[in-house]
Amino acid sequence: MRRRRWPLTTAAVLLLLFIYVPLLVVVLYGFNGGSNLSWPPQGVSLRWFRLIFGDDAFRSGLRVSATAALATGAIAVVVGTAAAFAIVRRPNRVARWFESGSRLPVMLPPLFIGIALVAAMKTFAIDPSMLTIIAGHVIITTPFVILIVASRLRNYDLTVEQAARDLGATPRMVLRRITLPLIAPAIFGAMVIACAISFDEVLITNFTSGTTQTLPLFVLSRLRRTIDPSVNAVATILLLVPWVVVGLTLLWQRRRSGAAAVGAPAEELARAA
Amino acid sequence: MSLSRRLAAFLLTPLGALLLLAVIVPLAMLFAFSFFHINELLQIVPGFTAGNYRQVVTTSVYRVYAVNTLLIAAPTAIASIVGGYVLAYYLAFRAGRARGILLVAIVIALMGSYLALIYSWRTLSGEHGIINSLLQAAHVTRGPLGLILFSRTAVVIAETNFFLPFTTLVLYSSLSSIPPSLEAAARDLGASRWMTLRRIVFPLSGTALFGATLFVFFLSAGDYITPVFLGGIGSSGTFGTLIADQLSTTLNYPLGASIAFVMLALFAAVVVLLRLGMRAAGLLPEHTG
Repeated sequence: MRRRRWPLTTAAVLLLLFIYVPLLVVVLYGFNGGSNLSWPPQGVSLRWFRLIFGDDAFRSGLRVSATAALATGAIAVVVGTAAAFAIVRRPNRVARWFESGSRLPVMLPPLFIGIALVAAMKTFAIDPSMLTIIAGHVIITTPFVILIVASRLRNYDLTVEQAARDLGATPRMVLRRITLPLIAPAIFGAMVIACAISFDEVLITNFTSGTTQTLPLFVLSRLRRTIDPSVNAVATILLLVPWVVVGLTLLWQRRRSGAAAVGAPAEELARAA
Repeated sequence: MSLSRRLAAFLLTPLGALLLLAVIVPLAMLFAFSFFHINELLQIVPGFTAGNYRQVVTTSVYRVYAVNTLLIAAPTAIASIVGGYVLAYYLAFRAGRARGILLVAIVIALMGSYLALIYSWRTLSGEHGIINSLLQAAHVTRGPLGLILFSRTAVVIAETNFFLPFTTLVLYSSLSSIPPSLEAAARDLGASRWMTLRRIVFPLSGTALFGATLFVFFLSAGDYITPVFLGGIGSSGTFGTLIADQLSTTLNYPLGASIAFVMLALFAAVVVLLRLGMRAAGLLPEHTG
């Protein structure tokens, strides 16, 4: 059967360009030597990076965002992995209820989570702080951890565990020596994704941060002014940090366990809807 | 190895506490706040008044916001779904060896920064922006074109850019579970290309289409940053910006809360309409939950 392939291929290439060109433009102009945001870029320089790294507000924002991202990743991965175990290994009505309940925060616009947290903070007289920032981030990242780890646990060969038990391993040994090492890449990948989401989160953080400024909030405050080329450098950092970390993780997982591991977080992320 | 009941309960406790304390209780408080009101000193007074809801439903200015929201969220959802479907179809059935690397590219784009995208579209599309200066440098145009900046179109383009990797992955995950032999069988039995898509591929990915459309629609309607930085004044005020304004500018928190629940109700109506429409078109089975 003859198929005309080029229209679909062309469309796919154009769509990929549409996705990537704006992202690459940010990075390109982050290293721009001139101060005009017009074509062509004027030489390569690190002047905008030097400029922002000299800015106290930027450095403190970076520190706050990095702290929030690491804390969020750690909490979300513990809560999510524990829940994923219960959901997959004891699949009853309660587990199903928890699984769909955990997706609620991702299905609501972040604005709703943000203003709901404001309501709770007003009611219980909780002041905005790093803790409220992290709470907001944990809510929206835990569902991703559950998705990714649960999917790994579901596509996993249980006979390995049975074999270990037959050979006399205690349940604790099976968990430590068999189960956890096998699902470790998925857990790590989930944590990285949680950190990346937290690092970039602004829609909820805007309501939960009070006077603390995260890196995205720093960008937001700069966006309110006119176009400022140093924002390119900050935006480049916002993009590159998660990209490098997620990219390295994907490559590492791919080397460890074949292409399936790359597809798995992707497809599991996809099922979030 | 299945878990004991006690262990399963122990493992679910942190998630339960998180959902209860950080999602369910706050949403309940938000609902309660929507019946409160504010006094002259902008203090929130607890009580039970339906005044906020009455104001939202009867004041005509809110209808403008509703229309704007629809004019931004609907095109964004359609563009993200159509683009995502094309890309996902390509990935699932045509990409061959490139599939793995393309999937990684899309996951990485999914991790792309929301704010960086908004900023990028601002620098790209202004009168002296990158697109205009590129066109002039290439002698395609002489003067600057009146481009899309500060319009609903700009908002739709940027949001579509943001949601595309997501819709692509959702639809890919659904399409990749359709055996290619089904398509081949339909073609062998004489179905045209379009017929095969319409009768086989679309219905089999109907649930993902339904979910992804609603997801993008709802998130776009609740986005309160893109419309402010890329939209025109007056034409791009959405429910999202309206609610955010109540919290940051006018400080009428109870009104903001009630607008949020009105928006939720309107969204429920969209869910019902889309479900009925897709069932009528044979894209969703008659009896799914």
